[in-house]
Amino acid sequence: MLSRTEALLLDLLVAKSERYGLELVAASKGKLKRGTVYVTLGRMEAKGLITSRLDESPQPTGGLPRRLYAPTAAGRQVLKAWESVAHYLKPAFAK
Amino acid sequence: MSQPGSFLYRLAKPVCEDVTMARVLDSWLADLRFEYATADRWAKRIWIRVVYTAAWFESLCGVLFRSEGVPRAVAFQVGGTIATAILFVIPAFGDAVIARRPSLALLLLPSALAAALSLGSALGVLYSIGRRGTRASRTAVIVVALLCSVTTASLLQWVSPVTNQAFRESYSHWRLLRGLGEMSLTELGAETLRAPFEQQRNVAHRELQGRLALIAAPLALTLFLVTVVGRARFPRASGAVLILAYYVYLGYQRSIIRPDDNVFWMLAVVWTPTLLLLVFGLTTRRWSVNDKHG
Repeated sequence: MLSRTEALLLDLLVAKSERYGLELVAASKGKLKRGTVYVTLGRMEAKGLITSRLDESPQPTGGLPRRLYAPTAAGRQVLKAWESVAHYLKPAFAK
Repeated sequence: MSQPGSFLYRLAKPVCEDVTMARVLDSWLADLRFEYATADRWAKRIWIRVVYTAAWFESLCGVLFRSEGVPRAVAFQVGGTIATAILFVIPAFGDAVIARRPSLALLLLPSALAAALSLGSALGVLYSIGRRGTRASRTAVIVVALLCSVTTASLLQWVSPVTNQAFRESYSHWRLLRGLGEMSLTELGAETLRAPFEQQRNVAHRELQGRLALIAAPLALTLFLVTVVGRARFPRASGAVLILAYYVYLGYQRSIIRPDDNVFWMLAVVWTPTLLLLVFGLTTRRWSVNDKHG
């Protein structure tokens, strides 16, 4: 079962294969906050819905390597299933 | 000046598991440094620090209170405290007046709660964490114990003096002078200096120190139990014996101290067990945070 935040994160990640946590916050247009995004991403990684790697390319700002997140095959399937169930459960007048 | 986020990152390190640090706090720190370095105005840099401090706090709460075993540990602490407070009040119903007017027992609840907070929170720790305690669950129960200490202090300062006096007057239908049991902590402190006779001052001192020890008890017991539970051979049995011994001592210490004893002896009698628990709990905790699972 996906929470609404997890579904949104998966949706954003599927749209563009790899993203930083901060990019996801910006792309969500206010739906995600910095305080919840890292915890949710960590939980999704533990569930196997997404995977992450440290960005090896040198940072232009010389800071710490940032983490890039990508959906796994299982994550894509779960999102697809979740979307079809959500569509099925949506009342007819809202479709 | 240190790099932004360094202090908060170091603060989270003893609390979080290594995998949480890698998945949550490392990402938080890297994004903070990235945004900070790309900000062109000082006002924006300050704003970024504020936003990321709030994000750190929210992330830590999310990590702590959603970790495995934490809701169970906190629920046991709260449940243990409520159950103990009720158990403390039940014997009062043996009194004929209270049996006729059960609403009077409500006035005893704040005092019962002040005494029950340390016992309840300790019992909660004992029966919830066990050997499966994680770093997050240990931190959460210590935070709850700290809140219990603050609540005990608030009850003893502002609530129980008023309700105790109301109970006595409702029970007897007379206006009564307040005794030591109906004084707040600050009033007791003043009594230790102002009372006309040395014996009265000493009795006030004993009462005050006993209450201060009761305030420190939830934190001292919890810190100690968090270490004992994971290490002792029979953790629950040894923890239960320790809690029982501590409470028997708390009740018995009044008879050890006489009104004409000097203040240092009184302090030693009241504080020695609590300080021993605190010192042992704090030093052992420092060893345990380096455990693989702790």
